Amino acid sequence: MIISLRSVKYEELKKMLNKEDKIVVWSCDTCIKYCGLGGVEKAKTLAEVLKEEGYNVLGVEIISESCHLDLIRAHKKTKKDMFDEATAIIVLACEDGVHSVKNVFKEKKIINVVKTLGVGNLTARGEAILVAPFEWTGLKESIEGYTLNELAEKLNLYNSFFDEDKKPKPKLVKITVDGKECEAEEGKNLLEALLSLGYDIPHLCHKPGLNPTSACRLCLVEIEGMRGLVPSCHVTVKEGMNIKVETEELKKYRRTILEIILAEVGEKYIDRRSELAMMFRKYGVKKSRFTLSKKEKNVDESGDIFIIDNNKCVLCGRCIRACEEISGRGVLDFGYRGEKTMIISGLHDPMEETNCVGCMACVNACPANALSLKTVLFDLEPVNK
Amino acid sequence: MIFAKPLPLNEVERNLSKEDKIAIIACNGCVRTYGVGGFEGAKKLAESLRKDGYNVVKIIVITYNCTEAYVMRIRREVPSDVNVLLSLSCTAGYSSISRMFPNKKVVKTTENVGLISIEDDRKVFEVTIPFEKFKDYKGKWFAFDTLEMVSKNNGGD
Repeated sequence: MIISLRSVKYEELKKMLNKEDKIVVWSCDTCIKYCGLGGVEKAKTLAEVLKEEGYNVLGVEIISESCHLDLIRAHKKTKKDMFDEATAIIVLACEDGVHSVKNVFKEKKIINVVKTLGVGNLTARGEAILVAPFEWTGLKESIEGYTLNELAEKLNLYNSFFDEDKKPKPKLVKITVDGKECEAEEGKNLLEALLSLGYDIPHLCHKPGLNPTSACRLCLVEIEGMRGLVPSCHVTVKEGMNIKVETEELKKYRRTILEIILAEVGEKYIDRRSELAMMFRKYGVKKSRFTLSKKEKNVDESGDIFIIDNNKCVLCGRCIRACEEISGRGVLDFGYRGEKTMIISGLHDPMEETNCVGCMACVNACPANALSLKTVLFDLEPVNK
Repeated sequence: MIFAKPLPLNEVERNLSKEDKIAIIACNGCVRTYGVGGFEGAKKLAESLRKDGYNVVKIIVITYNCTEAYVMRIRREVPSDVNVLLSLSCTAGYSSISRMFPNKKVVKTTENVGLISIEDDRKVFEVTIPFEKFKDYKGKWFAFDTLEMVSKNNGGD
């Protein structure tokens, strides 16, 4: 991975902008996220801070990797109206990514806020370290590596995101959850708001940063004034909402849905390290009351990097949305109908024949490990001497 | 993305002995994209070394050798009698493998050229931020697989 630190203060960033600018905050979802300077949350934070100060922020754009020119072009095309209108793009990516964005958006003001220091590792503790520094840093290659704090101090850079304390306080409104009065951020996704308030609501198809689809129906709640049970991932917080999340009926529905998923996937296909398996453990679902005849589905191992095992898939669609919205490639889709429905690449072509660039947005999004990284182990006969 | 180009074979062999039992740990990330790493790259390297009499007994390919969590998963896959690991990745992969396998000799098989911006569809890439040794590569475009320089008209906007 590529290691970068912030080189620009918030006040300096403001000097690069003017109030007439129409701004897009662009961020990679890989290396720079692990350096604490990018990803969905950071990009949204910066957009909010700028908006609060009166800047015209048109939107936030998340891309899996900005070093792929074709992915950048795909994002430009998908959000044509926003990018046509934009005059400035603040890029939360390494300098390589900034160069690539500049290459595609030649006519826009491209704002770089980082200094890229070289290549490094993501440690098992989730910490980014620099191991192969560029020569200008004056540092030597190191197997043990340099921490970001160490680097920030040595190189007079910043190991923190833009003045996060400047993040405007969200407008809080009063809502009632299971008879208890709470405060939640107005306009926030209701599921995310309830989770942050500590309510334990199962969910599979929802992932922050991806458009909600309400496919799994696990996050159902009751909202006064709304008909039937409502998927909380598709509703935003409004003043005075009266919500029920823990009724016996809801518990029964959620458990039934989990049991149906378990029956559909089949115990033997549940990857015990997956988010799905954790959910079954958490809600004590060991057996299903339902029996569904399971037909073996397609396993695509043709790609270089990852395997698609449709037997493990719960059809939540997160991979499809990640491929469309974060990668921009749109390689994956649902194919067939009914019980034959599965994840396909291209027009059900083998993965190796598609234009997948291996950005891993889909693999990172999958809750069932139906898309998993490929490990190749190949033994060779000893050389005869 | 980082561009790491293969070291000449004799430079790799200089660090090996014919008595060594060798495993190649190849990266399926950046180096695979332009044909240096991945299973194909590892197979080529293994074939060349075996032809010269070096005892390569295993190939392991994992995605992102620069991420410790992935390297940890293959710790048990390296046979205990293997004493040398060839790292077919950039320096970042070499470093994490060196830390994960402190009792094995880890040998580099590539050198870092610099950061690159790539065109997947046209299978070319531009070196954007090179390391000092390759400073002349800045702004130059290269083809995947052959790693030969191509004119800008064949790649880039």
